[in-house]
Amino acid sequence: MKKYTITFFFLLSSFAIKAEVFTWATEKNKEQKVEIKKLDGILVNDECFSNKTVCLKIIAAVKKDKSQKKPEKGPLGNPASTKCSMNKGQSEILRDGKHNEYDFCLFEQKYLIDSWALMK
Amino acid sequence: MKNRFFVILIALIFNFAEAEEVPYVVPDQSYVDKGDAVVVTPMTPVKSQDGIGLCYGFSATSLLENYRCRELNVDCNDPNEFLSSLDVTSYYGRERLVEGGNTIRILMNLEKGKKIAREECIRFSTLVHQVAVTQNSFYRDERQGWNFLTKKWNEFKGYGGEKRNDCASCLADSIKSTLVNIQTPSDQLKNAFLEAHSLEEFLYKALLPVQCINEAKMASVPPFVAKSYPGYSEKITEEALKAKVETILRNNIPLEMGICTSVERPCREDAGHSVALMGIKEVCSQTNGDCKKLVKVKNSYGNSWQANNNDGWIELDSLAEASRALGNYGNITWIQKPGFVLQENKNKEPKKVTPPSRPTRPNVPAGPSGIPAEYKNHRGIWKCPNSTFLDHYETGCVPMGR
Repeated sequence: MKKYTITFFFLLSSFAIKAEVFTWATEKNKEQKVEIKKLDGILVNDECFSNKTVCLKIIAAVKKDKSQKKPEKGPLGNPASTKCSMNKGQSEILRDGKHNEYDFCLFEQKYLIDSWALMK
Repeated sequence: MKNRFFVILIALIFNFAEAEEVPYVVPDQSYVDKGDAVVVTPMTPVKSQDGIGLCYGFSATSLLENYRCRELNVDCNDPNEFLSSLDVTSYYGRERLVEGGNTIRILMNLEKGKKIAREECIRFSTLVHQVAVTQNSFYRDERQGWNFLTKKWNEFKGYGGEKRNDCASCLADSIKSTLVNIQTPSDQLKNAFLEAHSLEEFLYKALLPVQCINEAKMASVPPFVAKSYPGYSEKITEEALKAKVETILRNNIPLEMGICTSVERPCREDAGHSVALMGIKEVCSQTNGDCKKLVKVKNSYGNSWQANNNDGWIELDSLAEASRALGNYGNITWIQKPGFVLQENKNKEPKKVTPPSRPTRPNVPAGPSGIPAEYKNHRGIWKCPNSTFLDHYETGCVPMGR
């Protein structure tokens, strides 16, 4: 019975933190593999997931900013990546296993957070 | 009393600021599918335009990729078959990369069947925003690559006479050492400075490396016919636009729609956007029986936009209104095989009507012939009433997207 209970909870936890591997084209066209998980329904990297408190604080602070700052010049392009840049983040494009591209925002050089989740 | 007035005023301002993205309205959860969904296949994965105003080029790319995959039976999920959005966009201004434009002009320039560079050779996402700060650390952000090239072009413009040649070499070296992902050879970069007549032409020459625009390595797109609706002499209602959208999608043909992303009417000049529509379905409310048409939007805002917006299924009513707010002509664009005739939606397509003229919309002239003097530019050719329209002699006044 104990064995089954452990198996059940192991399976439950593996579903709860299901990760997907994304590719991130970094320096000199090198591709880096990044594990992306869901933190409160938001796509984040492992670093963010492990430092939940810090990361959720960043998300809350950016979400709170409704000023809709815009760059001084130029068309808007993607508003989520603009919002990211205007809130001390760096806009990054990652690809999932099916080659769909996602806009992520990199904070403090380590926390990757789905840019569109910051727009809500 | 005065304080209360200011509190209300401030609250109104903030509410207005939060109400961005008006066209992307999704129905509440009481609405369920009627089971008549059509999703155009094949569909290439969703891309991101980052902070660059090339939405119209990304929409054109989606339409071309779908057409190419269908006609040549190639695998749309193979990254080697993706078309370069930069190369596709360059057909807007004939070898120039312009922020803000429209899809129809790109497609008209490609109609006779051309070869397009492959996205895997010129990966947009790695080109546009990577800048080296020191030897070992990189500062990466949206537009940084694009802005760096713009800055170098402006520097070059400041040089004249004999210095131009040396300066071009030196600036080319600076680009090579800073934009670490740029694959354009130094010689090509140098020539880009010396040969380009404008920033847009320079960006094209600098960003599309010669090895990627080599015909043997490019992807061919079979000939097609580019269409847009309504034509500049046609007066239609929003209902007619929606019916046309449904007809095209139910013919398994994707289309591009220009929309206004701002709540302001008339639409702000910088709020034009372009999206691809890839499907249509009807949903009905389980509580009051109300039914709505939804279209599947493929937005170049990346796949997380799709995930955060009902997987891209947006109310057609809201999009059609936003499209008409951008302009009365060329709201939608699509491509079809030469000789193909759209199967009309038998009971849905309303008859053409002449709506009363809208006082808030600019009065766009009917066509190149008999152009009123106020719509002639300095060369005596047709000029559109304001910059939200593309001033194009052959296609007429067409709304711009970014």
